[in-house]
Amino acid sequence: MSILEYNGAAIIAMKGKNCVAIAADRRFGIQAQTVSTNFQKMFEMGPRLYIGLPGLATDVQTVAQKLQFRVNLYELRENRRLKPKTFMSMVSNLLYERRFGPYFVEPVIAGLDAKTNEPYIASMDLIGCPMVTDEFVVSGTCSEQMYGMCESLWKPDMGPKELLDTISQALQSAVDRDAVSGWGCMVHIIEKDKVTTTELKGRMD
Amino acid sequence: MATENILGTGELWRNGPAPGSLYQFPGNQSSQTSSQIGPAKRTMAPTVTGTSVLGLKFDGGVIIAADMLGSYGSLARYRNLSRILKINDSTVIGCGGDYADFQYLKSTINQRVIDEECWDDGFQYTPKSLFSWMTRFMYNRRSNFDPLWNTTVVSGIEDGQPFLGYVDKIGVAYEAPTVASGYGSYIALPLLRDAYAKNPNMTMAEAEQQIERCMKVLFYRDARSLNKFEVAVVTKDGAMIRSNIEAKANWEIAHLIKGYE
Amino acid sequence: MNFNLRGRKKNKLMVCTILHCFKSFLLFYFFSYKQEVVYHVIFFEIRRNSHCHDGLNITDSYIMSVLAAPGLGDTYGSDRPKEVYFSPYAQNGGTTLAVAGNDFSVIASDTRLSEGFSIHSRTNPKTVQLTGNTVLASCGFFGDVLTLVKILKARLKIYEQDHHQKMSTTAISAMLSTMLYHKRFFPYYTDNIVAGLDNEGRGCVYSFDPVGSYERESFRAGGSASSMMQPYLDNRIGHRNNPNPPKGPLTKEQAVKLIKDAFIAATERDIYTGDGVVIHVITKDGIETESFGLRND
Repeated sequence: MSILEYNGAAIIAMKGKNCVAIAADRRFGIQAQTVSTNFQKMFEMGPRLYIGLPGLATDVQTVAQKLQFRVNLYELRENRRLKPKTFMSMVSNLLYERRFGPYFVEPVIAGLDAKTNEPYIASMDLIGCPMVTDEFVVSGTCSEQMYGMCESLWKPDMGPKELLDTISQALQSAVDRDAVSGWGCMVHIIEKDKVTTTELKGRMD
Repeated sequence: MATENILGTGELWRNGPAPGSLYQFPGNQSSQTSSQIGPAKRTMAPTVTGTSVLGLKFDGGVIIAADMLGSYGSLARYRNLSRILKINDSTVIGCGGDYADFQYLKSTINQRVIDEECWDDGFQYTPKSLFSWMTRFMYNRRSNFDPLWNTTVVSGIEDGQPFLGYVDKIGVAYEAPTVASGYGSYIALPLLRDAYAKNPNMTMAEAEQQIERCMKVLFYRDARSLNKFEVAVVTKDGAMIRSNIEAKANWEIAHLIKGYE
Repeated sequence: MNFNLRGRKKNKLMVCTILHCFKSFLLFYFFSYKQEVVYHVIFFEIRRNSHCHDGLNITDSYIMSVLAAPGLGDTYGSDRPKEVYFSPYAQNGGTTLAVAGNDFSVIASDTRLSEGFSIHSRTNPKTVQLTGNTVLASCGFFGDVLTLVKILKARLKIYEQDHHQKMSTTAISAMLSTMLYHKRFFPYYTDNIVAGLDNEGRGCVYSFDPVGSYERESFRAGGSASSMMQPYLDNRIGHRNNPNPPKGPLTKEQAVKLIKDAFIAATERDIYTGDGVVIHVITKDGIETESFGLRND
C-alpha cells in the first residue's frame, strides 16, 4: 500500500460564480483502523485562502506549519496579502525542495484573489507539480470516486448555495465508497466578504 | 487506475518494516521471491520472428499483408519467409511472432483441412469458423501455460461479406474493418483507420494502395521489417496471394536525420 | 490491498490473498493488488548460450546464479540467457453498468476494446444477450470474456434442450457463479453483471466478482470506470446523501438518461472507456437496444 494511503483522506475544491469551495473529510486512521474523526486537513492561509492537505498525517501537519511560517514571512517582508497564485508557487517550491525525499501530501488550494476576488483553485502532486483548473480539483484516497462525482455534478457559474450542495454531495458520495476516508466532512464556501463553514452529517462508517 | 506512490511499489515505505514489526537487516532473508526458487524448463521465447501483419476491408473483399523477413533477434536472418497462409478460396491468415509456432500452426490447420475434406460433405473452413477455432486454440494453449507466440490475422469472405479478425497469443480476439499487429498497430493502424474513415467503401485498387503505403512506412520505421512483402486479397472470385512485392522506398532525405548519435 | 468498497460499508471486509500455485514444470505466483489478480509467470530460456558450447551443459548453480540477478539477463548484448515473461492475462478495459427498475432493467456497456495505450476496437460492446430477457455484461480480460460467454451459451443451450424452456435470469446468475468459482485458482479475470427480469417479472441485476461471489442489487457499475460511476449511482438512484429524494419509482427513461450521463462523465477521466455505449432495456415485451456516441479520445 502506498504511504499516501496510510491515513486516508479526501479533499475537493470547486469553482463557482464569484466564489470557491473547498471540502475535506475528517478521518484520521492508521490503515483500516479509525483513530479520530475530527482531524484537521484544511488550513486557513489567509482571509480568503485555504489549503487542503491529504496524505500522510504527520506530513500534513508539518507542511501546514511550514507553509504558515512562509506565508507569515512573506506578508511581513512584502507588507501585503498573498495572492492564491503566489501561494500556489510557494507550496510548489516547498514541496520541490524535498524532491528526492518528499512530503507525502498532495495539496489542494482554493481561494479568492486578495485584490480582484477572482476565484482560484489548484492541486499538486507530492513533489509540487501544479495543476490549475477552471472547474474542480480532487485529491486523496478516493480520487477516482471524486472525479466521477465532480465530473457529473459540476457545472459552471454556480452560486454559493448551489456550490455547497454540489461539493457536499460529491464528497459524501465519494467517501462512502472508500473505506479509509469519510467519518464526517467539512466544507468552506469562500466568498468575497465571508467564509461559511459547514459540517456535514453523513454516514460514520 | 494506478494509485501507486512515487516509490512505484506496493510496499509501505522503502526498506522499512511493516507497521508493528522490526527492521529487516541485510543477510536476514526471510522471504524468497519466485524467481529465486528455480527455473522453468520450457522454452517460451520467440526465436525466429516475423513482425507486423496488416489487414483492411474494402468493397467486396479484404486484403492482408506481411513482410517476408524472419528475424533472429536483431539479425535479419531469413529474407524470403512467407507468413501468409491460404486455407482455401475464401480464407487466408497472416501471422506475426514466432515463426516455428506459425509453422506448427500451419501444419495443424493443414491437417484439419484434410480431415475436413475427408468427410466429403461439402463443408470447409470459413473465415468465421477458422477465426473461432483460432481463438479457442490460442486460448487453450495460453491456459496450459504453453502459448503459441503469435498474433494472427484471419481474413476472407463469408456469405459475400468480407471478414477480418485478430487473435493474439492469450486469446484476445476481435473483428474490425482495419487490423494490425505488433509495430503495425502503432505505426500503420492510424493510417489505415484514417483511410477507412474517409472512404469505407474502397475499391480493391485503393485498398492495395493503402496497404502498400503502410508497408512502406513500416519499412522506414520498424527496424525488424523488410522491403519485401506478401499481399493476400480475398474477394468472391477467390483468394490470391502475391509475393515478393517491393515498396519503392526513398532514402534521399535520410542524411538530414541526425543529432541522435 | 484495496480500499474500494464493493459492497456498501456494512461489509467492511478486506481480504488480501496471496496464493502460491505450482505447476509441475513452472512456477507462478499470484497476488491480489488493486482489484487486479496478476499472474506473473516467469519462464527462463537458455537460448543465447553460444558461450555454453553444447547448450546442455548448464549446471544448476549456473542457472541459480542467473536467477539470483533477475533482470540483468536481458541486457542487450548479454551472454546471459534471455528471461522471458509471459502473462496469461491482459487488461482490455471497458465499463459496464446495470440498473433494475420495478418492471424493467437496463444494462449498458461502452464499446471500446483497449490494451495498454492502444485501442483495439471502437465498436466492441461488452454486452451479450443470453435469453429473451437476460443480458450479460462482461469486461476485464477479453480472452476470458470470450471463453466465458462461449461456455455460458453452450450451457444455456443444453439447459434449453433438457428442460424445454429458457433458463431464468436468476438461474443463469447462480450458474455463472459456480462457473466462475470452478476456476477459483486460475480465475476468469472478468467483471460480470447480469441483468434481466426475475420470476415475478421484476427487474433484477446480479453482480459478480471474478471468482463467483454474487449478489442481487438494484444498480451496479463494473469494469475500469466502476469506481467513478458507482458513487454517482449511489447518489442518483440510491438517493444516498440526498436530503430531498424524488418521489415515485425510477422510470426507464430516467434510467437510460442516468446511464448516459454516467458514461459521459466516466469517459472524461477514464482512458479505457469511450467511443460509444450500447444500452439494452429489458422488459416483459423483450429487449430494446440503443447506441449512443461517446468521445473518441
